[in-house]
Amino acid sequence: MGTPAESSSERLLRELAARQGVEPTPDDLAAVAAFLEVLLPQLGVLGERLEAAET
Amino acid sequence: MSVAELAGRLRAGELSPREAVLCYLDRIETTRELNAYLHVDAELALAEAERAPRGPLFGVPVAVKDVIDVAGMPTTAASAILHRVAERDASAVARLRAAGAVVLGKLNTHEFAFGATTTSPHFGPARNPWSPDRIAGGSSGGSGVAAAADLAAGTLGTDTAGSIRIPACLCGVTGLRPSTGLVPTDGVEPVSRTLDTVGPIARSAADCSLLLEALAPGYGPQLDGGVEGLRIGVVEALFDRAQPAVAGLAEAAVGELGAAGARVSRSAIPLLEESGTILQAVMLPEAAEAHLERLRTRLRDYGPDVRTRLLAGLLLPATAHVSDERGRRRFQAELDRVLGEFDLLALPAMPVVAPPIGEETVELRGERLLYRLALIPFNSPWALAGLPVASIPCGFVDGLPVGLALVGRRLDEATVLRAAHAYQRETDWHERRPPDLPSHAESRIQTANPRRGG
Repeated sequence: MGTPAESSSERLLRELAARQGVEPTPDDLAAVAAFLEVLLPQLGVLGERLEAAET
Repeated sequence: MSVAELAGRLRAGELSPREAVLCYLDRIETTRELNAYLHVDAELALAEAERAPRGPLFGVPVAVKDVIDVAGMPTTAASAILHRVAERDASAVARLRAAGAVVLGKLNTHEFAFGATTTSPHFGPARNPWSPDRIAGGSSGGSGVAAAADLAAGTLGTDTAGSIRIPACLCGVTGLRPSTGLVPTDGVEPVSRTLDTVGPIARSAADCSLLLEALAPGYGPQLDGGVEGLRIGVVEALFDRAQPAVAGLAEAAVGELGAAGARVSRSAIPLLEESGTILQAVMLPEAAEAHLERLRTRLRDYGPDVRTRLLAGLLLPATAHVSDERGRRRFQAELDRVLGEFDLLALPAMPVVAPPIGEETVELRGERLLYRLALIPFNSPWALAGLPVASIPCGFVDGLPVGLALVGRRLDEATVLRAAHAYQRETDWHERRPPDLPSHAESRIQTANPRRGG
């Protein structure tokens, strides 16, 4: 069950963690979500750059 | 005193290994507030001193980052989770001991070597000897402090994404990240199995070279070759990004190499920005994999920053892994092409001087950035490509050390250390000692020779 203040991305992260046997707290999930908010767009740009470089 | 000079005096019998160990133990005791060591084993070190093999490092006292196993000593990784007394030496330690080195103890580190500040919530921060309210850098922060404050003649650190070069730079000493795979990593608590390296942090390039000779039998030093004709590419984008005073000192250091005969010109590194992202996508899942069982059972026992990074690695989408593999291959190919034109690349080792302990952001060119993000482009690219990199002291800003990084071709540590040594023959930044510390171990060593009435 999610907590009332849990965002959809945090819920997804919690479910992914649970499938691997790991149980982060809401605070952990908020910190991870903030971390990934920076990294995931960079990975998106990277994918585009690699596509462009290889075509 | 340099490793070479100390080793020479020990070999000549002017000083015994026991006397050398006692001098360092005394100094460690008087500088405990720096928190460089997590474990000092005087009894073991003195016993080892009595039976040290007569190799090139005969009797030389060294210290080892506490993620690397030393037989009979605890490995904690500055964590609340790990506490194993190692049954055997890591290969790197065994090689130093076989060369005659004596291990004094284990050095502070960022928790599990997974961060760049060495401010473990469980063991406290390693303090920068140049300004104890500032970080020593990390993750091999204790190694940087011990080398700078003369708490060991030489040290071992590990470097996954900058962890040797960052503390070497911020503490004003010399550090070498060897090519990935050159020095064995067995017996080392892993961060990222495809990126981890073990290497020396010591006073000078010559000292690092002596330690590397023991660590990597394939390494052939060429220290006295000079830099005449060496082609050095200046990574201009990183000079433009560092704090101006820091960039200015690094630029002056490159100028010295040019004056000594190197051919210096500008270099552009394709995918430089993206390389940090690629490295994160490699390192984070590998670290999570290494810690998976502990994440399941001991999650609450990690410090908050390390816990967040490990969970991020656990939860990164699989598409990140696809990008990292493609990106890594592409970046390595691009760097190979650049290093076809240059023998070395030069850049500021860090964009800033050591920040205060607890400060998470730094100011760069009018912008406040997270410290951990600001240093990525200076350290990650070369780690991702598995290249050797040295950080050498090149001056001070507001009394705090600044470093120049020299990047070489894969397995060409000889050229990196040759250029570093050439620079250090012309300058004395690496000889400078932090102020306000008790008199140095070497001053005791100068006189410690009871057999000769010294």
